[in-house]
Amino acid sequence: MNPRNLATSAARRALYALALCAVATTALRAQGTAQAPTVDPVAVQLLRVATDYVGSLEQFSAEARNHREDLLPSGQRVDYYKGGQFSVRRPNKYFGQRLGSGVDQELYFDGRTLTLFDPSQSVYASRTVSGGFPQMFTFAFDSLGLYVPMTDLLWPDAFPLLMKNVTYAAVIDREVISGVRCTHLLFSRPDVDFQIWVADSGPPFPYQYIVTDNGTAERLSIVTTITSWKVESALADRIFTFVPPKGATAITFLTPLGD
Amino acid sequence: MKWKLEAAGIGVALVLTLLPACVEAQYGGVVRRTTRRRTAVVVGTSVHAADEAAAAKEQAETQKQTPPPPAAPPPPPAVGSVVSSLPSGCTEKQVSGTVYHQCGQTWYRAAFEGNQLVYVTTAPPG
Repeated sequence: MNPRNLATSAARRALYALALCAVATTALRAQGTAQAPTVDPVAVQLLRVATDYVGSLEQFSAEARNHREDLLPSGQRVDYYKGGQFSVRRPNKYFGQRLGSGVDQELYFDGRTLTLFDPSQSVYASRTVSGGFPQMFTFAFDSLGLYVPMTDLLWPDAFPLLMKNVTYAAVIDREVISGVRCTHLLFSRPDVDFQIWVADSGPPFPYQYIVTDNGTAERLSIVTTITSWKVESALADRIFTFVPPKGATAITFLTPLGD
Repeated sequence: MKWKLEAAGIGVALVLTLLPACVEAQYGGVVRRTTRRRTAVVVGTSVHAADEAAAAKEQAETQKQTPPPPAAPPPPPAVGSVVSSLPSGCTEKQVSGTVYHQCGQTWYRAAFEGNQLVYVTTAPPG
């Protein structure tokens, strides 16, 4: 073989090697792309079972622990905790209590009046809202900037709202949350991932709910662990009705349009 | 109406989007870099402090000759401004059923801004 043929042969082998490498890389990339956008029907069905079950309960109560991840301006990671409880009587009665990082609050909705009470400062503010939970949640969030704990799971149509724009759903594992064996589910929507742990046996209550901001590199989360679920039968009106304690002062809500 | 339900239904997500965003993903590297940066800051501060001490001494000598005019008091906060806590030394007064907090010449009243208890600067009641 003359030197010219040798050089041509070596160049050809190099080209083949490069082409093979490119094909393999493309195939791996294609495989990865094909696996990414999947929605596991088992995960979707478990989410439906849990949300439909909670949605079917007329009266219930539970305890909740909230953990919020945050960053200081210095870049250091800090975690804030709140504890509390809530009681619900459908279609329009809610009581929630939160105590912890920077918050000492009770929220009452008796079907007509929404009241936020701060026991530590003995101040409260009330607004009239007609309708059920959808109207109350919408008014609280849109008009008052008020976050009502657990709303994601309390909407009458929680399942379609949670599944809106979901691009990925998976069963991750079986784990134990607060002593209860649960199935761990993961869902992704644009900008938000959420995970939910649903009890494996007995009533399909959700025992943990994590929402993660996937739109930033930090991927900060809010973790809510829900325990002591109790199906109630006779939650009294007085639980949801705010009666100002002696010496409590009425204040106002600040709103974008003025109070 | 439906869009409003959806918007509020992802309330937690909206809260998250309000959180500050400024961390690096490589924690090990951040710890090392932070340690070095802190050392540099401490050393830099010491050097800077020595400079400042010399400058202060020089300024004190100058001040012996020409005392500076008294500093003007800070302007009161504008009516309608919001603070998360009251300054110290306030007294509570109830006027026409509304509770006010008088802090020097500035008056506040409490309000909820979302879930947060805040204090809004108001004109003197009367």
